[in-house]
Amino acid sequence: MSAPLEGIRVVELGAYTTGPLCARYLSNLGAEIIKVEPLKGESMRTFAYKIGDVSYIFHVHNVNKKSVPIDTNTKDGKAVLFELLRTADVLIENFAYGSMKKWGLDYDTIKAVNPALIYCSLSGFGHSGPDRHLRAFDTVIQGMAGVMSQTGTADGPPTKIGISAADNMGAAAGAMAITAALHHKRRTGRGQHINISMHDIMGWLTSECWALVGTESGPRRNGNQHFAVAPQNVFAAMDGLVAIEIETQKQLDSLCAMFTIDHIALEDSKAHETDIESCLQSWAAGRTADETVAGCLANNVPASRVQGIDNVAENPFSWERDILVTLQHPESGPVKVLGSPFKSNRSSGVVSSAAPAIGQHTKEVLGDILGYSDEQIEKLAADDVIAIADEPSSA
Amino acid sequence: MAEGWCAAAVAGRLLSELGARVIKVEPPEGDRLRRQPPNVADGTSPTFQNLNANKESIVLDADNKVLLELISKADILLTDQTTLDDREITLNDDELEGLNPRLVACHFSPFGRSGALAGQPGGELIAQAMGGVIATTGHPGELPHRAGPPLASHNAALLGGAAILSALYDRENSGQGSIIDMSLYDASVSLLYTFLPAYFLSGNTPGPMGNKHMMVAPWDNYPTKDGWAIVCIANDRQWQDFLRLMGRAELIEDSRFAENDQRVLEDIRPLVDGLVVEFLSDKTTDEAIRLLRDHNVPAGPIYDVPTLIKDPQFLDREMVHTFGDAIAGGSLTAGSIFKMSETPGRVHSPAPLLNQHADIELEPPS
Repeated sequence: MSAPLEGIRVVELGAYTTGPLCARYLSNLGAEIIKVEPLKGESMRTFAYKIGDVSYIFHVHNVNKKSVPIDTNTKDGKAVLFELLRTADVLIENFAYGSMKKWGLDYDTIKAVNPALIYCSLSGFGHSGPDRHLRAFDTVIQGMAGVMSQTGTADGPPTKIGISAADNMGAAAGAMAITAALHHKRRTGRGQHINISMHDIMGWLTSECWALVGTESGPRRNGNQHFAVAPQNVFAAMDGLVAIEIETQKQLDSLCAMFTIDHIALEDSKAHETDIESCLQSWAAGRTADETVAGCLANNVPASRVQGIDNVAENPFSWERDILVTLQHPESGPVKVLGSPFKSNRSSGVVSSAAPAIGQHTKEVLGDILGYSDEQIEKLAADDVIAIADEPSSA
Repeated sequence: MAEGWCAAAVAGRLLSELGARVIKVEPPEGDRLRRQPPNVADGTSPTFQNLNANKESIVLDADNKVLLELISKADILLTDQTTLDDREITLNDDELEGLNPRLVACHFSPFGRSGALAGQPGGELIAQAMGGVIATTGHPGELPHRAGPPLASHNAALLGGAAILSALYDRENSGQGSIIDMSLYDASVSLLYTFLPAYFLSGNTPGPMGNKHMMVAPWDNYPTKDGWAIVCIANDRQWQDFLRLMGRAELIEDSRFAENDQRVLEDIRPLVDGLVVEFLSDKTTDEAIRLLRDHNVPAGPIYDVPTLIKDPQFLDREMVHTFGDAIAGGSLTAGSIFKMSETPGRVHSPAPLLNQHADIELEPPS
């Protein structure tokens, strides 16, 4: 078993979610991640919901990483960062447009340091267009990209997707773009600048319904239904909610057989939606959720529970799939974090170490990779250019 | 091998934007999206055209010979479990490795290929239902809702794309292909990083919060004189900027809500929300958003989809691509999200007619 990105070195200059999560995905694929953070630590460390004095989300986003705090505003700090970047394949940053330039870390500057470096910028609106300067947060982007207008019910307000969809998918898109750029780098020896816009991605996400623009109803909020295929909805069983979803003609035929309904063509299914849904609702109303799901599945009709967060967290399947895993943290003990979504016959995804303490890997990285002497490292730390974690007492 | 608007078909489109030649293997009657309303005409639909731009089409024959031949010559195989089940096709690992040991296959499925739920059916709705997306979307006390757009499928497509391109990169060193198991369940649970910690820490089950943010306040869509404005005050500095803008600088020192950790508390959140509502009550959406942004407070409007596809930012980024009248209904497709200086993503060709590339000839794989 070997992870596909073993040997790829990524420097992360990230904060909060999109950059750190993008780097974490690459770490799950085997890349080495060096998290260059401010001397006092990355901003997410102090976010709400803490284990000890570190935010739980920080623990989730930063597994597998090496922490090397550098004050990149100092001349010496910048020199250390540039030396690291000369050895790296990828740089990920997710600061507001213009910040990296202000700090003297923009693509043109870094390209001169290492022309083969893949420099990935993840930002709210990307590095071009009239809105590129806007401060962007997930809900603002979901609102401006049409996502909220498509979520909720027709007679209710526009509603955001509960999870931070823009932050999340920006990270996944960055991971895909970076892995594509690695191929180009190997073929040509050239790096490049990737600029991913969370707004582009949220707008792209709405494209399934673009065919409705200009039609009588137009794109609208459909509750739990689909705009073109039925039935797809959530039904109340005696003790919980059940999702029932028809996608194909064969599945619709199975459903019709189950309720002795005459043949319906999939493309006409919306016209029969009310009737079919009332059959399903009265059927579910007399059963438990588990019985409803089992009954549907036995008749080749796709169905599932609607899992709450508690169900996801407690379902043995989540642990069996290793999408939830427990890591040992040297101070906090066992911490439950997200596992790797990347599984193959050659690698089950890397989840190897808990999130680092500030400066936990400074000596290792500067010593082993850059060849700095202990004396040099101590001097840089004394000058507040870098930070080094306290030695663990047990070591 | 992926019908409908599913993760594997989205992944195929994304790979095509990055330069891959993508061949869509369709059943004799064509992909079901070709018949999906609205505006079905001439064997296709605007929705099919939208998703399948850049691709080629070949029809599956009765004994799957075409498929097996394609697999033997391909670099990448994308499959969708629903499509394979529907056509009663099984492709086991040994068979794939026998056909093409250098193949990178990515099987997209709702629950993956291992574990107690392996093989259970489902699409976008079921992935969102099991993956915690529905339970966390909507308004407190009401029936929760799916994310309107296909979040689970697109996120799985992006993660699948990263897995595929990594495996392909590794193949250059190892000479070995790879069989990837990308589940929409794993991809969706990966999205829950704000909700799972809250549960693990408190044992309480977070549910839908409307447009509020569990860990940050004030954060919502708030009424203005003529509509709504989204305001997201993400940190204490923005809170202070907001209070100064409001002319209530004296509240900066107010110990009830000076810090975000206080503002998110159940009894404090209504107070800070109330201040935002008060600020917006005599302003139009446009005025409010301009003022807030000028003072570094994140804010924005809510656009519908027709507004989005005319939005200057979205158009400047070339995110809307139109193919000419040649295609039924004229059709819109999204531009590429891959803005890259050396290898920009490209949308280059309209979607294929059914079996347009029947005479395809393929070189053996690289």
